[in-house]
Order: sequence, then C-alpha cells, then structure tokens
Amino acid sequence: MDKNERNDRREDLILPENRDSRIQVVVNQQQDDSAMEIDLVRVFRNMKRKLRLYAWVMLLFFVIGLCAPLLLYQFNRKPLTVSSVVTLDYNVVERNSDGEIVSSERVRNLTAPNGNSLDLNRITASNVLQAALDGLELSHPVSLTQLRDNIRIERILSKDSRRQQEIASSMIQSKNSGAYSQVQSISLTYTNQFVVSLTNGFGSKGSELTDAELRLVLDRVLSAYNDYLADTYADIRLPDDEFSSIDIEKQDVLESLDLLRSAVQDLYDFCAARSSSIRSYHSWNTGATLNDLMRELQTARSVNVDYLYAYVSSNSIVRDRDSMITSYRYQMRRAQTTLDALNENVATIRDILSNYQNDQIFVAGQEEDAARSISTTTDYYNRLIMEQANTYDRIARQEELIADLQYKLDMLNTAEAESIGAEEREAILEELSEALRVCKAIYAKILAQLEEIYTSSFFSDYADHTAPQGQTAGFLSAAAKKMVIGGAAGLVIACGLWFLSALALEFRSKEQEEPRKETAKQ
Amino acid sequence: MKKVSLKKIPIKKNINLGLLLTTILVLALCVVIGLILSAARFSRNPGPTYASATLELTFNGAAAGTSPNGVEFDLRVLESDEVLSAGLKAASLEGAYTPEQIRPCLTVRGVYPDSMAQQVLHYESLLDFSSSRELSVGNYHPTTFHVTLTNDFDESIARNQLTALLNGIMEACRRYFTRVYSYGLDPDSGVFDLDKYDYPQQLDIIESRFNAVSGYARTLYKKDPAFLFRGSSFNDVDVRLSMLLESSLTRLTASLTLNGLSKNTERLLTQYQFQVHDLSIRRDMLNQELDKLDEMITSYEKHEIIYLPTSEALTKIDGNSSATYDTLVNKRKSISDSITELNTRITNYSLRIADLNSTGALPPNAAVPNPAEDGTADAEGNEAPAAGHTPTAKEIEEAERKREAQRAALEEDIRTLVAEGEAVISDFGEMLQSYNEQQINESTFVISEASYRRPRLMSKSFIMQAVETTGPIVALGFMVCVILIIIRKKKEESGE
Repeated sequence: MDKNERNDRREDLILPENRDSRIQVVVNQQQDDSAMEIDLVRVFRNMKRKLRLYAWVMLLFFVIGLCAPLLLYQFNRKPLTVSSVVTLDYNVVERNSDGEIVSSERVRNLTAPNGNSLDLNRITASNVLQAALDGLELSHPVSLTQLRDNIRIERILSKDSRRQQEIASSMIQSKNSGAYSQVQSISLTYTNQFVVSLTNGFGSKGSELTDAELRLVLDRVLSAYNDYLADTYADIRLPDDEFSSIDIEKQDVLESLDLLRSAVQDLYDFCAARSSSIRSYHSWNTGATLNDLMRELQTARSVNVDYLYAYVSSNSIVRDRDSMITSYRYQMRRAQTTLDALNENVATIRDILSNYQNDQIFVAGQEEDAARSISTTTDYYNRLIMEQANTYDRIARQEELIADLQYKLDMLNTAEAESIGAEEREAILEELSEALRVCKAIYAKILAQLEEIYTSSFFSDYADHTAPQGQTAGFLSAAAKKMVIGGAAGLVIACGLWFLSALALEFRSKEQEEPRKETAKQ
Repeated sequence: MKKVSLKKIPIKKNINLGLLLTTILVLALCVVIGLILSAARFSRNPGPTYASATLELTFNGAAAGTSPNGVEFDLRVLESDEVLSAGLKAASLEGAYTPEQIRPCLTVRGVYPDSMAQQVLHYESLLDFSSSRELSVGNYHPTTFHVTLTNDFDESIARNQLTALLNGIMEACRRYFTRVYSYGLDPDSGVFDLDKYDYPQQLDIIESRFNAVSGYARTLYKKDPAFLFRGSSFNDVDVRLSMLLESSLTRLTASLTLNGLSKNTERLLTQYQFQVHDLSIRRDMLNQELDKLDEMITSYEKHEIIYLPTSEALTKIDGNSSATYDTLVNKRKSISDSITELNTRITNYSLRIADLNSTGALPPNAAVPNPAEDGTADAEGNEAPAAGHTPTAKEIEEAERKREAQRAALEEDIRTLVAEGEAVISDFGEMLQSYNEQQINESTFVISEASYRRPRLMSKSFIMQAVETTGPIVALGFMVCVILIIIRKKKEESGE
C-alpha cells in the first residue's frame, strides 16, 4: 500500500460527532495507523498549570523585546542632519557696454548679482569651507573632503515650473498628443531660496561631532558663503582721489582748474553710476543721501569751480602763457585724432549697414496663396545700429572737448591777454585754494557715505540663512515604535513557548498512556 | 495530598520573598552602578558654563527684517569690535579680555518656525483640490533671538562677571542699534562759508541745503504720516522749508537779479557769459547728434512681426527689431530732453546778463556784450542804459548809495533767511531724535536679564546621560533576576 492510498483512506474517516474538540494529528506516517489525538482542553489545562512559570518567561521575553531595539539603536544610530534655508538677497544689476546701470531688480531666481547664473557648488568650494573651519575648535578634526561629502544642496523649483511639470506629466499619462511638445517647452526656473543640509557623517561612531557643533559648522559654512558672495560681487569701489593730485603751487592756475573740473566731473559720474537704492540711502550719521551730496557737488562746481574758471579762462590768467598754449595744442591734436578715428568707425559701420543683408524668411501658409517672403533684422544688424548710435554719442563729446580747447586757445592768443599782477594772482590762488578745500570736503563726505553703505547690509547680506535646524531624537522616542513591536514579539514568542511546553506535556502523557491501553486490550 | 501542600505553603512564601528581595537588591545595585558610572562620565567632561539672554524686537518692520530707518538690520553687530569692547567696558573687564577672545564664544540664534526647510520644500499639487493652499513660510525674519556666551575663554571667570559681560554686550548692542539703525541729521550747515560768496551763489547754496532737508522730511512723512512731535509732523518741516524756498528765497532772488546786486558784478557777468558759451557748445553738439540719430531712426529697417498658426500654438517670427528701434527712440528722447534743459539754462543766464545790463549795475567802463549775440534775447525787452548819456557825479553817488542800501538790506534778508531755515532744521533734528526714541526703546528692543547656566548633577543633560547609562544595566540586571526566578519556578514545578 503506497503513501497516497493511506492518506485517501484517512480522509474518508468520519469523526465522531461529540469529538469535534479533538484534533486529529498524524504523528508518524511511517507507522501504520499511528494517528494521535490531542485533547486541546487538556493542553489548555496544562498551560494553566504552567501559568506561574510562563508569566515570568513572558515578562523576560517582553523585556528582551523592549531592550533589543534600544540596544540596536545604540549601534545603528542614524546620523543627524541639520538643514538651513538660504535666501538670496541682493539686486541683479544689468549694465550696458559703458558699464552704466541699465536696470537693477531684486533677485527672484538663482541669478548672480552680475546677471550670470549662480553656481551653488561654490558653497562646497575649498576656500569657502576652509574659511568656515578657520578658528573653529571642534571635538574631532573634520577634513574639507568629509565636510564636502556631507553637504547636500536642494534647489527649489518655482511653483509655476512645478505646475507645468505636473500638467505635462498628467498629459503624458493620459497619452495626450501634445504632451511631448509641452514638455519640450517647459523651462524650469528655481526660486531665490534653497536648502543646505549637513549630515553628521564624519567617520566612525564616537568620532562624530555633537549636535551643537554640527549646527555651528553649517552656520559657519553659510556665513562663509555669504562672505564669498560679498567679496566676489559687491561693487565696493571708492572714487579716486583726484583732488590730491592738484598742486596749485606748482601747476598753472588754468591747468589746476582744468584738473579740478575734471575731478569734480569724474566724482559726479562715479556717484551717478551707483544704483538708485544706494543713492537714496540716508546716512545714520548725517541724514544725507548720496543724491544730496551729488547736489552739493553740483553747487560747489557752480559757485566755486565754474565761477573761478569762467574768470580765469575768459581773462587768460596764466603764469606761463606759451607753455599753456603748447599744452592745449597737444590736447587739441590728440582730441582731433580720436575724433577722426571715431568718424572712420561711423563711416565703416555705415558702409556695412548699407550692404548688410538681413535674413530672408519664407513663410508657408496653410493655403498656397498665403505663402510669402519677409526679411527680419538679425542680432548682428541690431548690434551695429546700437554701436553706431553710441559712437555718435562719443563724437559729440569729443567735439565738445575740441570746441572748449579751441575757445581756450583763442582766449590765450588774443592780444588783450596780459600777465596779471601779483596781488590779483594771490587773490585767485586763494580762491582756487578755497574751491579745492570745498571739493575735498565734499569728496570726504562722499567717501564716508560710501564706506557707511559698504559696511551696511547692502553689501554684507547676499545670502541670508536661517538658523540650522535638526535635532537628534531621544533614544526612547527614536526607538519607541520598534520597542512596541519588540515587546509584542517577545510576548508572542513567550506565548508560543508556553503553548509548546503544554503540548509537549500532552504528548508525554499520551506516550505514557499508550502502553497502559495496550496492556488493557491484551 | 492536601496535608503535604499545606506544609509547603510557608516554604513557598519564604522562597518568593527571598526572590523578591534578591530582585530588588540586584536592581538597586544596578541603579547604583549606573549612577556611579554616569557621574564619573559627567565629572570627566561636564561641559562649559554659559550665560544666556533673549532679545525680542518689536519695532515697526522687525518682522520684515528691516530696521526703523528702512535698512535691513543684521544682529551680527553683536560680534562687532565696537559692541564687544563696550560690553567689556561695561562689565569692567576691558583689561582682562579682548573682543577677539569673546567673539568665538558668542552665538546669536534666531527663533525660526519648526521644520522650516521642510515647509519651504513643501509643494501643494495643483491637481489636488483638497489642499488648503496655505502660504508657506517664505522669507521669514525672526524677531526673537537667543544669545549665548559660552565660557570657553577663562575657566576662572566668576558667575556674576560672566552675566555682567553678557548684559553689557546686550546693552551696547541696543545703543549701537539705536544709533546706526535710526535717522540722523547733520547739524553742521555744510562745507560752504557763505560770506565768501557772491549773493546769487549764497542763495544757490542755501537753496541746495534747504532742498536736501526738505526732501528728507518729505521721505519721512511718506513713511510715517501719523508721527507727531509737539503737534508737528514731518510734513510741517517740509512745508516750512518749502515756504522759505518759495517765498523768501524767490523774493530775494528776484530782488538781487532785477536790481543787479552783486559783490563783483563784472565777475558775475563773466561767469554768466562763460556759462552761456559753454552750454551753447554742448547744446550745438547735442543738436548734431540728434540730427544723426534722426537719420538712423528714419533709415532703420524695422520689420514686421509674423505669427504663424500651428496646430497647438502661435509661433512668433521677429528679429528683435522693435527692441532696438525703441532703444534708439529712447536715446533720441533723452538727447532731446537734454537739449531742452540746456536751452532753459542758457535762457536763464541770458536773462541774468540782461538784468545786469538793464539795472546799470555795471561800471560805465565795463565791457558789456549783447546777450542777443548768443542767440538769446532779453525776454522782458529791457534795454541797456542809453548810449551817449553820461551820468553826473551826483547821480553816480546817489546810485551807489542806493545800491549800498539795497546790498545791506539783502545781506540782512539772507541772514534772516538762514536763521529761519536753521531754526526749522533744528526743530527737525529734535523731531528725529524723538522719532528714533519712539521707534527703538526698551519696549521695542527687549533684552532679558542674562541667566547663568552651569552643568550640574541635577541638570537635564546629566539626567539624560544617567538614563542612557543606567538603563541598559538595570535592564540587564532585571533580566538576570527574571531568569533566576524562572529557574527557581522550574525547580519548584519539577519538585511538585
């Protein structure tokens, strides 16, 4: 009789009606009709008898289940990550070819102050990290490579970009025909905020930084990055001190005045080239703005410099007439040469423009008769036009200079021009000295104003960051979930052992009963 | 059977009691060992002492990160040399420590919303119509700051010295903040010494100064129209100065221009002529540039923009011709405006020349050029004194006396105008001081008293460390006890 046949026959057996609380178990299939019946009631009775013992076993397993996650947590603790939100805070300045500010707008995306794309990887550049670690005393040494490896930067897509992505994604899912062209037209833009995270993964356990140190390191890295941005992009040039080069004792009066006029104009142009926010900043010390100081400079130019210059140049008051005439002639020649060069440039550009062929575009409409050909201006053509306009501007300035020089030469060459007396010269020198003093005083005020602005948040805050956040969870709270599972598992295992021990007892009693039954049958 | 069990009961009770006592003893031993170990670890590295204080900013604009004067403030000023030196001085420790020693020990931490990074990274789906679409934290500026001075610089520093140092630093910060982030006014009237200038120049200087202060007051009025000081607002300062400019200054300018009053009429005339000449050259050059620019604009090949309809959208075909054309037109407009301004200035100077000629202010032998030669004419049609008429000595003396009287009156008027203006400016200075005090004071820049912290055996850090050290030992001890109990129970069962 094979094994299958034996199993079939046992399936055909019908259990007695009043014995449904008993489970029929095949204990040893090798033996013939060796089926053993286990009485569950007796098993539970056995369990009840072992309750006092297994209550302690359950407690033991429960405690082991609770403690095991805590022990594991000590060995497999997840390193802490601290994060900080960085907000770019500066103006993006657009300048023309002459360096003049065309527009100045608050940064809205990841654009550098000079209008280029901002490279966020500079946060992990060696010079930035080194600056962050300089003078920092940590409980364990940290290398730049380790620090770089543990820093993560997450840019934040603008809401519009995310939604475009989302819509395109749903279109692709719904197999929309225009989905792929939609995806191609998406240009992702990021906001002017990003998140920088630092993970405490500096070597083996025990050689990690403390939470406070980790936060301090991230704070220092972001401060160093801010300083890097300020050093790289802040335009903190101060105006040149042209006034100091004017020596009224050695230079001729007209020459000194020429230099003074030029210095005043340069200082004014320098101030005018600052952005409007800088020019309208009120000093905490004087209450004045750069605009006010520029106005004061204009007044000084009018009431001091031009007033004296008009008198000196109209009366040709010079110490050495011949020398001044020679100087002006030389300046005139140089100016004329420059003017000729500019005129040639204009002529060349004009020639190019007259022969220049703009792009021809053939536009094919849906209907045949709608097809037509048009021409559009190219970038190069537009650039030439603008270059020509700028050259006209420079020509006008050069011609103005030449006219001014010619006027001075004419005045010097007139027959009435005579040397002035010592007394009058003394008075003019005194007046010149006063004009120089006033201009120097205004220059000093402008310098102080700019230095104040350069040390203010205008030029020190480029990337504002929040305090690094993140905290290691307490060992109880971190392992709480695992402790609950461990405790429950311990209880289940203990219950299983309890049941098995009761079952074993039942088997043992059955084995003891078998010989007695056989003896009784015999 | 019952007799046997009755006899065993007392023995069992003794055994259970013994087990309980053993367990308690083992657990107590574990606790003691754990605490000793924790204390040993803690005493080996207790951590530095520190003083901490809180700073709260409640002035206008603090939540937007701007100070009362509209500039973004930066609390890193706490670490500046000026503040640290003042703090050391206030605590009478200026000789003991340097700002360089204190700076690394000072931390300023703003209080931000929890999980700010997660909030910033959070995105609410457009397609999720159940989302609440709440505003994210965005560009958050903290208004509460925790300032901690950790004693890493001198272990022997006393508790009161450390707290006094932090209090001194915080107070110095408030003073610095009050000074640097507020509105100031220079009481000095400027770099010009009025007496050295001719009357028209004096009026120019006065006008420049009054305009600057008036504009300042106007800016502040726009910022805070409700502010009143002794019943006056910033607008009152602006109005008072504007009145001086419009009435007094205009009256004086008219008087000196029409009467040709000057300390040195010849030089004044020379300057006006020079200005006319200089400005005319500039205007002529600009006119030439304008002509060339007009030619360019006329010949510029501005092309049409074509939109091609496709199945999905419109495609634009354009060579940026509009942008370039607009730039050219803009440039033309700017040059044209400059020419207009130059023309106005030339006309003004020409009128002044005409006034000097018409009032007879010039000495008879002074060479008076005709302003019409410069392409301008006397707008009022005034004519120069008739040629050929030679004034008598008496007439000249009379005219000179009259002019002297006019000059004296003008000088007096200018002095009065300056005094009135300076009075307004002085009032404005007081008003600003009051405004600054209202903006930054003890209730808008709140500093808590510095508190001293020293790591102790009952401190939170020690308790945490003790729990971490003692916990595993107690758990181990407890498990051993339970195993012993189980063995004993097992033996009892075997005995039964």
